[in-house]
Amino acid sequence: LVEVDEEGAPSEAIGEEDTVVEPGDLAEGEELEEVTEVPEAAPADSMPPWLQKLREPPAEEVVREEEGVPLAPAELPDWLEVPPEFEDMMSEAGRLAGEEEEQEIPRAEIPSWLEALRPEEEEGVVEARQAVDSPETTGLLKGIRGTLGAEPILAIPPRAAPLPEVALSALAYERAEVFDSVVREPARPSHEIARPRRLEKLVASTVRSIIYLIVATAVVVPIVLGSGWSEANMLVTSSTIGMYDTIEGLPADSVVLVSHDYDPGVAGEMIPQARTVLSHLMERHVRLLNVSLTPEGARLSGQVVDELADAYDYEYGTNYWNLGYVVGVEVGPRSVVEGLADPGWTDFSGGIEEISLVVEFAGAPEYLRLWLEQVQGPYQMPMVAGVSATVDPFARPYYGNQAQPQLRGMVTGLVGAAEYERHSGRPGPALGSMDSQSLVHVAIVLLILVGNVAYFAGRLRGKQGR
Amino acid sequence: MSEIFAVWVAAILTLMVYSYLLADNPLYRLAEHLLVGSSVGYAAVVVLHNILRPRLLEPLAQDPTGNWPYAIPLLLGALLLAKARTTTAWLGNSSVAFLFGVGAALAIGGALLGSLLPQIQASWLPISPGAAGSVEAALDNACLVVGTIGTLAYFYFTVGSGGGPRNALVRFCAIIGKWVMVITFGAIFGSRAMAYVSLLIERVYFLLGDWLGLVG
Repeated sequence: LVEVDEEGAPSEAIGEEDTVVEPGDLAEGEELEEVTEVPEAAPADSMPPWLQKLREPPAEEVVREEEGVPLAPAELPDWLEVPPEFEDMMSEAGRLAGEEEEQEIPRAEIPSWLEALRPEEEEGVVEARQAVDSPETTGLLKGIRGTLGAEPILAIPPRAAPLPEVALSALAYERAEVFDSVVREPARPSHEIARPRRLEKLVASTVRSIIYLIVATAVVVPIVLGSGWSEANMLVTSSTIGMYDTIEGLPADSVVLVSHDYDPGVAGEMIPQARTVLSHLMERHVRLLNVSLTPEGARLSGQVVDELADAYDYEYGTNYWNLGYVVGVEVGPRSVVEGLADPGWTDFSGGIEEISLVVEFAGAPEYLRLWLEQVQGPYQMPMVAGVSATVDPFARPYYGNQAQPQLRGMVTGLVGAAEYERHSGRPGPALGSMDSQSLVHVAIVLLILVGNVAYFAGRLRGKQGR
Repeated sequence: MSEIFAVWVAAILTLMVYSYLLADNPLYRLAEHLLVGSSVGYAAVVVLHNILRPRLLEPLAQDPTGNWPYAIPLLLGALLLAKARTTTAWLGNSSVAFLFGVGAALAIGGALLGSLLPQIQASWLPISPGAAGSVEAALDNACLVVGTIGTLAYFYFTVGSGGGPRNALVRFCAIIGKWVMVITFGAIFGSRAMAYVSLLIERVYFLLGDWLGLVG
């Protein structure tokens, strides 16, 4: 033990023989094993008492024990001594046990099938066990049995079971190698990760500003100048024509259910659609039932409907009705068509059988799906839809169903509204904005091309530099 | 006067939102919070004035005896409020069960009649030019059928890793399905970009026309 003074510093220097010898401290050509070889066991009196007890007994004592030389009886504590009143009982029990031992018990034979199940001891385990049973040969524990031989157990790997044959493709191996390299890569502290320099930041923000400027110019210039190129050259798609023809085929005074399911986020696309389609419906003198599955849709559509009602002399309660907001879940559309006959709900006196067409303006796919699944499918009701450009990929399969027409027509986004305006001969704000839309699309395509050229050029430069 | 004020407020809020293009800033966050807050507040008012008051509370108040069935949804709705506290949440379980039960029944029935069966029917298409009507229509149908089968095969996860013609066929179809999905996601992304451009144009129209009066 090292004595420590009042200030906590060791008061005695550690002896040179106690220091740990490092490999660097060795003389040239000197082996580490030679230096670290533990000297012979210290004399018995220098060992602590608990170690002396564990020490291997001398060879003569072991021989005497094996020959059956009786050892001196140890003194038992009082509580282990047999009381005198039980001595007779104990001696009788001992006599009976001795008689049983004297009777020869035939050794049971293990059947062959059970013998075949006997586990074979693995080589490594046997070696480890031998290592544990043999006495220590070096160090302070030299000559002591029963110590934990940690090193041999850890060093001997368990016998591995053969892996099943798995056929993996070259691509799988390649991916596994990538994964392995990523896992092996040491974690780096955050301050070592390269941060963009000030110049790089400036270049990035400048490029971003240039992109904003290009897009803004592409939007503003056609609006201010008003070229009218799209108005003259725009093509009308078959889905828009289908919607127009369906509405055009409605008889006057028929009832059309119009659902405005959008919010201010997509109002820029949906309001022009609603305006041009509702204008067409009012031109056909059909009666309109307006409803909305979104709270904002009721207000946004209300402005458009009221404005157009004034223009087409539509009277509330006679030519059109507003059912307002209906909860936008499965029960919403179902309750609209089934609750029309309820006199307490709306001024419209009629049932579902009077509805000739459902017109759905969907700003999100789920609203279109609700009307298709809860009304069009179960009641086989004719339906057309005006959808946001985002919804178009989800709505297209319903329009393209050749076996069963689910959507008889469809307009998509601001472009669809412009097509409808052009096809119906009523130019409006949607058609006027198509020049900007076209120019922005051209600008985006060019920017994508420039970006890709710059990216691949950078990669090529990087490869050449390497 | 109020219309001019509304236009100015809308224009300023629009510019506040577009200020995000420069960097994240308090003006943008203020506009964002105003949008969320006003949307939630407006929805609450609409629900109260369009649904709860005219379709539930007023009929009950006017004729409680005749309209006693209205008390059932009122009770179920009131029990939902008990969900706010964990100690009383169990009271709202029956309302939630009713909502989910009715919703699930309608959703499953509607999905079968409105989406699943019609769309399965829509994928049985002739791929020969004679039956389809034209070569173009036959090619269109073939693309649709192959794309449908390939996309379904991509999600067939229990295919074995070994060889064999069955596994090879499923893997081949899955590769086609993967590319069909990649093209579809590209189309969705493109549509979304187009939608955002439309919204930008609408806002520019508003700023230049309604606010500044530069365009008619």
